[in-house]
Amino acid sequence: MIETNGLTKRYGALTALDDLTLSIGAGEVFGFIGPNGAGKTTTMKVLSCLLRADAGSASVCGLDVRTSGDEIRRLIGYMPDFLGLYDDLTVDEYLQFFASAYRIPRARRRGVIEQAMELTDLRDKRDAMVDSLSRGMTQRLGVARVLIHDPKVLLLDEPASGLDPRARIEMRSLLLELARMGKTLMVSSHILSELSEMCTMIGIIERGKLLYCGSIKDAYARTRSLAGAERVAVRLEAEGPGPAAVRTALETDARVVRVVADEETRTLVVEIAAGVHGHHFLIEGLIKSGARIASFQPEDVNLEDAFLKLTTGAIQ
Amino acid sequence: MSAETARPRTPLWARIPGPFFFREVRASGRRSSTYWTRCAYAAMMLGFVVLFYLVAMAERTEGVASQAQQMQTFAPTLTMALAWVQFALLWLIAASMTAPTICDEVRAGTLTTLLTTPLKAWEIVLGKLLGSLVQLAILTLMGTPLLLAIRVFGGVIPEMVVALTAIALSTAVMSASLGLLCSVYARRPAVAISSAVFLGLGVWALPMLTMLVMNHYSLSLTAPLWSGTVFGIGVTIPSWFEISAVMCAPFALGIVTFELGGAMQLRSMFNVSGTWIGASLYAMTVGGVALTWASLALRRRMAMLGRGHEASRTLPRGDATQSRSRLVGEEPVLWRELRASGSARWVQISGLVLALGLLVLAFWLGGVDEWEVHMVIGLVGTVAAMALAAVHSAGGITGEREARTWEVLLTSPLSARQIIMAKFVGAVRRQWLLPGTVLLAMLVMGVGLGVLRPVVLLHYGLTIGPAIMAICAMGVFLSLTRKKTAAAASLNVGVWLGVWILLPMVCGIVLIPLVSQNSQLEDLGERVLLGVLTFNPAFQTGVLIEGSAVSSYSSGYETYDYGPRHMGVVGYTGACLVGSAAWVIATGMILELARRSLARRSQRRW
Repeated sequence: MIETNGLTKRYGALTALDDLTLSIGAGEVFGFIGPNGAGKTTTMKVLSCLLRADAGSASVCGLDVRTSGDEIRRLIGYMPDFLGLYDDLTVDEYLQFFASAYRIPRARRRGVIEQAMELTDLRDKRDAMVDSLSRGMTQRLGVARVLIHDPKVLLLDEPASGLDPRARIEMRSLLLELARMGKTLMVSSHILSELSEMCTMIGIIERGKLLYCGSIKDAYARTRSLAGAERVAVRLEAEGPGPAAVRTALETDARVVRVVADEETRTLVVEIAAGVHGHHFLIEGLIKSGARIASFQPEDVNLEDAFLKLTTGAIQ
Repeated sequence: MSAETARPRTPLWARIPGPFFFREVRASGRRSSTYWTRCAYAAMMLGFVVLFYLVAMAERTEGVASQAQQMQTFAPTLTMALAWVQFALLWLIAASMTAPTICDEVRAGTLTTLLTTPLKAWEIVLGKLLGSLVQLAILTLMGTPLLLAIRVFGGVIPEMVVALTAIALSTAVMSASLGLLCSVYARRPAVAISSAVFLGLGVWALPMLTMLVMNHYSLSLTAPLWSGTVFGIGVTIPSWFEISAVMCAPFALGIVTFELGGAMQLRSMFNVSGTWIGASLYAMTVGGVALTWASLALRRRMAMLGRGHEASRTLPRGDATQSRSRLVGEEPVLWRELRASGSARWVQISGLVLALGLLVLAFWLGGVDEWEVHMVIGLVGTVAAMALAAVHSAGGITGEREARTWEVLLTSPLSARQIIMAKFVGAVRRQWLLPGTVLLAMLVMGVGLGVLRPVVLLHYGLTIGPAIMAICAMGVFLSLTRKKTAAAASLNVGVWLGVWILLPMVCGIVLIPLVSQNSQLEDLGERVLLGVLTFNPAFQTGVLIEGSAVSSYSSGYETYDYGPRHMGVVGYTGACLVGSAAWVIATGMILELARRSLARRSQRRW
């Protein structure tokens, strides 16, 4: 659905995009991750035909962004990170404005606007002036606008930026709903926990270079392999042998790299050698040592770890 | 808060010039437009000197003594011209520099951020003024060496150079302060700039109007207003004529430049030194008042912002099921442009009341049966309408860019033609007030009372309509190519000042010596002059009103004094039609240029 090949964009001496190549399939929810100034917005602007790349190619739905701007505009919905609104219009007029701009027939327009307002929960605000809306409502209005012409691809630049936790959760469920509707979503953010719950694919970009592009599962697997030893936290019950005794028993296993014991909290942190899959041998060892297990917690890999591991040392 | 933890109050003097001054100075130092403005200003001043020098050389007489005498008259004339150019440019630049600043702060949301700092409103206003004063002082000082250098030709007194510089700089301070005042109230930079310019004109017009009223009641303008003793000291309040010179900077500048030109009789009426010093002090005082007002207004606005007053606009709803939103048309940008007002309703009503009040005053003072009154109204209305069109049309696209709505609009499949044409139509639509008022005055007081012939309405419509269209088209084009409204508006004003003032001057300066040396070129010179004058709406307004005056007309006479030629009504109508057609073609070409530029920039179809 979205393809870029060697995309490069420079602003004077600054290279905003450096040979960016990525591919996003139909129906994917693509999380575009990177720090501020990494090149996320530039990529989105190139894809939405707002900016011309200096080199390389990009296509949306098989259409070249350099030659098919008018066709692409009908297929995409772009929401910029800072959404400017016409402050002299009401919510309903604002949506009508864009429905008309996208040439939606007058007969269908009302229905389309109602649907968009329904989906974004803006019906109660239909007659409110747009400059009276809260930040969360403004972002919702932005999403409603991009949905007006039923685009196949949505490019959403920091859609949850500046929102409170409730509004952020609502925005996330709204985006998941859009994904269920079969839209291809490209969502940029630097709040990684937000993306991990809805993305099927991620791209990690830093200083214009794409460091990783692939499925989120693959990203976690790669993170684990890059991390080397996996750690498991074990808490023992008050009865039975203490952490020091259990540590001695576990350290005899070659698959265990190191065990750190804390007598006070009766916990053990066990480091397992890289390449060892599963924890059954560890549970067996614990039982053999007579330990009574209160909790067994393998260390979880999250998107933040993936980001840190996958970007470490990549950019000099 | 305990006394130990309370932050010691910063003394007043330590808060000046304040962080805004440094921000303004640093930011303007980084902007390329600052240097372009300085270069353009210097180039214009130097160009004037070169042109005047070339003319002087072309008309050089024989004999050393005669040449030296010629140079002595050349220097004061050139100084006069430069002084007026400097005065007008600084006045306009000062307004365009400060008027958008607070609007921009509000629009960018940075004013809200300022609420969280201990900065006071007066510190913000003063800092912005002082920051812009640095730029204005640099521009003023750029002209001073030129004025002093001209002294080598003789005939220019040093005091006059100081006087001219002082009047120009103090007027710039006043204009900058008025700009800040307007910036607090206006929502859009273009409105703030034009309001600042017109407020400045109003400040100058007030003493002049008072003079006209006094003259109407046959009150002495030259006699001292009061003379007597206070606590044994003889006190004399000068005449209103002298007070007007102090209160109206162009009047004071006129006196100083007349003095330069050797009009010695002025000394009997005015204390020239007192006039320029008084005028400078008066301009600074007006500036101070405007600055205080701006600080108080900004404080009130910041307080309102703090209470959340500006974010609570919701349309009242009587029936929950019935929508009050309007139905958007098939051309959405055009629909919005046709409904969006350039300024608030109260501003429009105030403007209309003011325009009608001035009309009433003009007819009361000048008489209802005098065509000259119509001429003055027509000229003032035309120049004001063109100035407003030049400034307001330049905010069409830059306004969207500043509000961050432009990017969103560009993601829609609207064609370049749809966007450009909508912006153009919207810009033209918002210019109806002044030409409409002039036409109404012509219709009711001119044609209705039998002072002017009905054809004047056709001629005026043909003159002002297409010219405003061309100005708006250029405004839209510049608005597309510039980032800031102030830059686009300044350029638009500059373009048309160039076409209507600089171009005729250059043509005259180049052609007059050529024609005087070669009589065969006389016809060519006449044609060029006619061509240039045809495209000057102010000149045409004068011609068409004088030509259509019933008192100067009788069948068969050619009453339209069209530059070097005289024309009848048919001939003049033809000339107006040709002029209009040329303006329409120029408008079409500028719009086409804008359309192509937008299509190229945003990769969209024409």
